[in-house]
Amino acid sequence: MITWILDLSIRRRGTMLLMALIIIALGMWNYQKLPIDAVPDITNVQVQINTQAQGYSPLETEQRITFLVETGLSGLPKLAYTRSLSRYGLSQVTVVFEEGTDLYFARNLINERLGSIKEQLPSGIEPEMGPIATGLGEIYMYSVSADENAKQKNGLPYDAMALREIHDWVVKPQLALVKGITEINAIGGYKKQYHINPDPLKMLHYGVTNKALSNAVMRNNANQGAGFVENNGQQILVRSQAQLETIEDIQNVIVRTDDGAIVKVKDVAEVAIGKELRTGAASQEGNESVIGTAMMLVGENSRSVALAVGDKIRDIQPSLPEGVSIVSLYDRTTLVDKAINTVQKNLIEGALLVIFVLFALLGNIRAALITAAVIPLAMLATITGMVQTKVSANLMSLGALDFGLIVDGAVIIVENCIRRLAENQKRNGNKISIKERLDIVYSASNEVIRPSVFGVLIITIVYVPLFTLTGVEGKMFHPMAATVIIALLSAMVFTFTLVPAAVALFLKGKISEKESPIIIGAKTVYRPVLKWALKLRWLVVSSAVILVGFSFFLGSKLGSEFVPQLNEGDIALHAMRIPGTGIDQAMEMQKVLEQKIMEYEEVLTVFSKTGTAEVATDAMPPNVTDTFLILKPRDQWPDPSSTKADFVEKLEKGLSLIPGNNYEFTQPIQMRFNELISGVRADVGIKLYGDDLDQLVTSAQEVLSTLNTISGVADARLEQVDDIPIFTVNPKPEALALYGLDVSDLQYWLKTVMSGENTGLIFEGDRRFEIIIRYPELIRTELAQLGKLPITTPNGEFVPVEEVATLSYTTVPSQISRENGKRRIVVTANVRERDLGSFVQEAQQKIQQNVNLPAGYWLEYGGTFEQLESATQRLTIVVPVTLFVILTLLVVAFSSVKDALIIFSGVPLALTGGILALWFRDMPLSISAAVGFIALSGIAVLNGLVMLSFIKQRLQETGELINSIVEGATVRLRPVLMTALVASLGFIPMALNVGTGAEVQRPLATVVIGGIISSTLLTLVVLPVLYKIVYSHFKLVDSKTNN
Amino acid sequence: MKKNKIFELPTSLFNLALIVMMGFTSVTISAEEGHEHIHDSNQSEQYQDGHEDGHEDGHEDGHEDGHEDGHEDGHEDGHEDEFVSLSVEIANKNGIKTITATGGDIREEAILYGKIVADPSSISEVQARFNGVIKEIHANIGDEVKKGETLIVVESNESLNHYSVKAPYSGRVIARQANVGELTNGQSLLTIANFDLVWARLAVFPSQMDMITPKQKVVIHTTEVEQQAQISYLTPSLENKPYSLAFSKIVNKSNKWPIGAAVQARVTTNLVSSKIIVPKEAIQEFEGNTVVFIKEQNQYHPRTITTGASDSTNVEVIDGLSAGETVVSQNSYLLVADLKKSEAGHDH
Repeated sequence: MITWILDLSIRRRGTMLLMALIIIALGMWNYQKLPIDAVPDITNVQVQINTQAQGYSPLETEQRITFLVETGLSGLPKLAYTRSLSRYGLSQVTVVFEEGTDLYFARNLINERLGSIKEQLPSGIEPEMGPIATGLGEIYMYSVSADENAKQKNGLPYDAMALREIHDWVVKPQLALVKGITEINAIGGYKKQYHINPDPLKMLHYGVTNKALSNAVMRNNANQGAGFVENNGQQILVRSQAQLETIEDIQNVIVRTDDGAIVKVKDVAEVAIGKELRTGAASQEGNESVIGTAMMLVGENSRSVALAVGDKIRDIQPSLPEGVSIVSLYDRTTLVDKAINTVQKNLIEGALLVIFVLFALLGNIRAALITAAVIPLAMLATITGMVQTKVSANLMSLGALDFGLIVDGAVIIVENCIRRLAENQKRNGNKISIKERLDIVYSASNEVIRPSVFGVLIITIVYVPLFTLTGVEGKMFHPMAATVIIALLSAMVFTFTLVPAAVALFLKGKISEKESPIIIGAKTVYRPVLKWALKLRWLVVSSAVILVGFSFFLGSKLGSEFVPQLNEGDIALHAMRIPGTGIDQAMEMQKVLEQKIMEYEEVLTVFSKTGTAEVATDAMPPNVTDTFLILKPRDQWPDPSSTKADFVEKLEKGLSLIPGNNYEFTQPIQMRFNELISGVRADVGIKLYGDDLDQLVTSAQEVLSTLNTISGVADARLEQVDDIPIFTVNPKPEALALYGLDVSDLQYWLKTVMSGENTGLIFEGDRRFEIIIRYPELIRTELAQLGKLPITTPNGEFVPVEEVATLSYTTVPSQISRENGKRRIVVTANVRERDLGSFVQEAQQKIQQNVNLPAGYWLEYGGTFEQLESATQRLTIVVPVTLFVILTLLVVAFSSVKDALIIFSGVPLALTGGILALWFRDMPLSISAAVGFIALSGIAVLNGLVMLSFIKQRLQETGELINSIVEGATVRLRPVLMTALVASLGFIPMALNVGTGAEVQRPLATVVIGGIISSTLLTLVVLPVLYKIVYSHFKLVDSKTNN
Repeated sequence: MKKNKIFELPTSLFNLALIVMMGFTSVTISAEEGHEHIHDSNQSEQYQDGHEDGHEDGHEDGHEDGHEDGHEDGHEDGHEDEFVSLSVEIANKNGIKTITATGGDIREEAILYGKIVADPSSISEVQARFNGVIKEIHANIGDEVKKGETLIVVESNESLNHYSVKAPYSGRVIARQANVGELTNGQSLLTIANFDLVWARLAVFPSQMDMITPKQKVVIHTTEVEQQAQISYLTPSLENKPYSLAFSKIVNKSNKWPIGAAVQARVTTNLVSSKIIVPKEAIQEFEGNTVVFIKEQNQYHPRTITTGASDSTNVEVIDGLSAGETVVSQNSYLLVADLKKSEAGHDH
């Protein structure tokens, strides 16, 4: 098969090159469509359903909204699980679907159900699905701010409310149109409202009730179309116009007539522009601000969308009033560009190094260029493959690409061709006929095609176990494995098609093949060393074994780390205050915090979002602030040599001086992922389901104390349930009845006084603002005086509220969490120095014995141990299978199990160098390093393959063992050195890089470089020795019969 | 929320992969080493340092003696040992203000609502003593009349003599039921009212009954005017209403207290002369106790107090605070927030 293709490629060499052009064109076209981002998207398939319920306490929200939404969604196809939280004024249900579910399909299903759910919800409550975005969605943030001197039309300076109005009605509609944007989410300022603030005494005076006031406003604020009449053939539309337009209009609404005296709104209430009761606020550098976040539609190219948003923002600027400006705060383009730059720089430098090495070792510029041409071709083919398989380009997916690896196959072919052509030229003079040349190229390629194809195939196969990773790790490493495999496979195809074709086409005329001085030098050293090694074979083998043993011991001493965090360049910082802190208090504290942050010269700007934004993509209580620190480029820092980690440390120390805040440092994208994925991340999570919140806490505490008695337990804790203070106004039914009132009268009154009653809209052109009846701030904020306020009774008299209701302070949970349709509480624990399985078993047993759960309460065991167990199961199958496949390939290549095993010995030798390199650079063992080891095993096998196949060939030709080994090994020195050098040099830029994303690539590159050095040196020496040991025990005849 | 935690799994997983791949069995690498959270370690440090920092007050550098939470030692009996240290600069920036605890008056108040009613003695229906024919009327609606002024002249049916009906007191004619030529027939002819003195009739609901007694001082106001008065007397309501009535005299020379106007009355139910009072803003709740924060140099200590009477601005301190101590009067919430900040978390 391969030989047939090889033959075809050489004969149809022109066509082959034409195909290269097609691949180039295809690659370039696909490049336009390739989604590019900085990091892989690790969000699961989820849909958030947010329901705003102004005024609802957590318990009401849960009971009257969350429960209905959740149960309404149960039984959806492909549903993985649901979880929910109910807070003040917000119900958020997150529906997670099985991996691979189409998001739009999922949303459609939910939409269908929401229709029927809506009917059951209290009137005016609308559940809404969150934006169609993932954790990478928040690509652009901006603020709307005003000059200090700028004045509104009414002569007042712009305040946060005016800016919010400009944002909502001028900026947002324009930005929402940008292609690829799914949502513009605003936070900060206040929504403008028209407030009617009744004076209780005046209401009493005129005998006006809250209800009467709200009815009056509602019934006197409408336009009505009334059809048309035909009058002398002319059609005349009929319309009644009574919409309220200004504050005066509202003031003049008539509430009642009393003996001919007209009582207007203004007689009983003040009317003014007022502020909403906000759940979120924003600030920038210590000042109140309005911040908008542009969210990208799932699957879009974040760089191009962010660029489009940036352009649009520049377009919007002229449409804003004078003195008001829109300022970009966070732009994903910056990070993506930095990440792309890193990858580009690494790839280009790597490619140049590879070309240089090829030229230096082959001594033929054409051959070097042909080999190097595989790099861009493979790259373009990879891009096409990535677009087809929907893999996005990012630091992870492109991070493991090494051009050295890609060209390995081509190097071997080109090297052999050039050697044979040169030999031929030496023998036959300068001229070779075209037929002769083609024949030589064919046979030279054919000679090495099997080892190189098998080698590349094996490297490809070792990446396959990466696909068994699931969850977040899967999402991070699948793209990487996919990209590498695509690149290797396409390079492999080029190796036996384009490369021989190009060699046949371009390597004509005089072949300059200068044994470069390096190779000559290497050979003069290598030959005696090899001979000496063959003599002292047992010493060599045993020292190799000792070395391997030592390095694995060293490996066990290395620190371990998870995936190194991608440095996003910016800092996101949670500033947390005690539960129950109000939004204004939190803002005051935040302003002080931001002023402090701005004292650091490393900081370009700081802005923050406190509480929950308009669209509750991140439902935060008002005591928590997401603070974003945009840092200056490192070279503008006071000390450019310090790292971001140093700065974070310094910052943390400085900020701890500010009272009342607790901090958590993270990064913008990382934070968003954490918010979206959230779930139990401890080793063991015991979920307790049930009805009564107090009972849940009691039982969970029992579980916790039982858990603490088990050996190996660490950081066991109960999920934090914060209590927040609440002021209750509970009706006294008898008292109410005595005065002719009922519960709903009292509750309606309370709502009007405290949160306000929405009684219609005021239209200002397109803009629409709510009319709210709410008692004046002075009255509603004085809770101690609330009981003394009069409530009007049906007979026109009044009664103080405390007469008909019990007023008291108590606490409620700040949020109620549910999962799969039931209230739940989680006890989490990590496990140290003990295997998870037995721990969980013991825990289950003990909890069953010691904890007495009431009927209707049940436990569920979860946590990462589950994933670990299933991953272990998968890996125990997949890893041996992979090994077996590799061995089979080797056996197929050599028709000998012994040879296959000899080649396999190169793997531990290669790992040795990798571990030493990590140890030398003081790097921990991370998942990236592990990927490096995987690549390394492949390269080591390839090396051995090349060497062994030649020795074997010689052996068959000459029949003399020692000579064949020495000769074969010496002849193969050049390709082995070359493949090793290109593979390791290709990784050198990555290993030394300090740019964005380098932290992922550095360990990988370090491992590969170290491993290749050791594996090359050792395969050159140990492999021939092993070969000799194995084969000297057998008669030559045996090996011949073997073949 | 926890950083790094997402990535906990893979290492152990990969260790496993590597181990299996290489057939080595004994390489185990703990996956737990990355668990520590920044603020956890930070917190414990702060608690250790807190005490020392009290001795470093002289430092000029605000960072050094800035702010740290401290436990004096391992006492179990509560929060008295915890304190917050803030440099002057940071305290000012955060708007923390102090006052010196002193004595003062606490005015406890009850709020009543009611209406302005006329004094029963201030309305007079003018009638003719002997029935007859009305011959002259000298006053019309709205006219001011003086006591003794002749209002109406009547010709008696019996004597056919003319006699005058005089104003019983000074006041204003507010109704006229008679005209010249009509018979008096024992009817009311004019109504004269004197609203120089009106009554505030205030509803006292059962829960307020105990607090309200005659002679109490009261400030009565409509939305426009306000007047000091006192509770004159209390009566049960006549019409089977569930409340009692308190009456209070209002001087209405200016006529700004129209009959029927709704009024609010703030009755001083108790005037306490306290040795120590603090503003309401100073009071915080901490670990189930009512506390104020005492400033000692740059340290702010929570102090459990027992409160007594309170009014809209101040609270009486019965126990726990002595005169002359420096008490945080503004933004004391911040200090509670700081003491409790380790509780502040962010679970999604």
